[in-house]
Amino acid sequence: MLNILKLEFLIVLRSGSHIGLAFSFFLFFMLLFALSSLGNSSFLSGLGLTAVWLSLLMSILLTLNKIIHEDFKSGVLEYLLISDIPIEVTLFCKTLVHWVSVVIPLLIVTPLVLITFQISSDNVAKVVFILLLGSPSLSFIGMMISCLTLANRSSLLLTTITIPFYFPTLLLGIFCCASTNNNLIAFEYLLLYANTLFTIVISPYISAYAIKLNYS
Amino acid sequence: MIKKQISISIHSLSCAVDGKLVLEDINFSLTSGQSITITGPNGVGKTLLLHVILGFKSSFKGHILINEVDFSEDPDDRQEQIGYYGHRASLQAGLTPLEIIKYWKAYYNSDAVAMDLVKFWGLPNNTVENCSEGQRKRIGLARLSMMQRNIWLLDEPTTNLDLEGKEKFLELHASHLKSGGLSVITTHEPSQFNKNKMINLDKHRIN
Repeated sequence: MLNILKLEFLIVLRSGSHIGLAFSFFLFFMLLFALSSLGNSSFLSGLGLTAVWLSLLMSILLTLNKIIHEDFKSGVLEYLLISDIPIEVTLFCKTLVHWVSVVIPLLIVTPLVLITFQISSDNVAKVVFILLLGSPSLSFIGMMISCLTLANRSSLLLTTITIPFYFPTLLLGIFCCASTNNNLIAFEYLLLYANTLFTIVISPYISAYAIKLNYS
Repeated sequence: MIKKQISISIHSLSCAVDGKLVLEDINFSLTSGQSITITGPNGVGKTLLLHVILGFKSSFKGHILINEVDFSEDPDDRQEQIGYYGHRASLQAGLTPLEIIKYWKAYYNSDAVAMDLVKFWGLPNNTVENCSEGQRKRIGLARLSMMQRNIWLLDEPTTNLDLEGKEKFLELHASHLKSGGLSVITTHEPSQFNKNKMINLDKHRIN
């Protein structure tokens, strides 16, 4: 499986224009939010927490057509389906690589961006930690949706269907970021972790099922 | 590579696409060392037939037996025994042939040496985008040789290949049959393949 992860990384790095796109979109979106509040600091810190989740989601949506559609279009997916590696494992690896290559770079600049929202440094660390544990579910939900809409090339459809599925994660994430409770195993945080684990576990199976339906 | 004895039988297979019957009552059976050639004009359903056997199309009538066991309802189990070569090259953009071979080596648990395959098929060192169609086909054939499967479904394997490439393919195919494999080949150039077992889907007659 390590070997497969390595190879998938290589592919993403070679065709990685979408990573730069997501990155610049994220920065642009966040700074626009910061500017729009006209320096009203109490408004700004509340807005920042929502903005960071929203920007993250939008950046991920931008890159979703790279996650599996290219393999489907080129026909590579057919060979992955009949390979010795179960398709669920392949999909899990692909999603993990998507998360590491697209989301991690965004999380690295997040502390810098949050400072423009005048969020205190203690809170920045907490927000990044919550993003780190909450964001995998964005990638894994994205994989499910991409697989469900494989035959439909319309990205509008993809986006419209996707948004409601993201609501639980988004709401939980924003709620946790805004929570003043510093105990990181409090109920709201546990809910967020549970949500992430749940999507990581079900995503490969639902995605694989959707792909097989598409090929039958 | 030691392969077991294998047989595949297709019984009265019919398949419709969008309500139109494309394949009707196809029958054939093969055992180790045999190959069948499927011909017919464009759009007659050659690729569809391979996709049905491969399990990429589940709405068909009829039976597919592998080693006398009915696998009609188990596309997943069928796929584990089938090596496939599609008429599209199906390669990842941005990688070199060597990297692609390493990629599929991992996915097919092959013990082949990637460098040897590159040498055998005479593959270049640049990325796939800069490869010619024939070179892409060669990469596809290298991938096929790494699938250690007894049943080969080959979709127009020799198109775009030069004379040397065709010779290498025929060599690969012959050694596959010799080691106990069998193959179903669709082609527009039937003269190179088995003429004893041949189905023309247009006339739909077994010679």
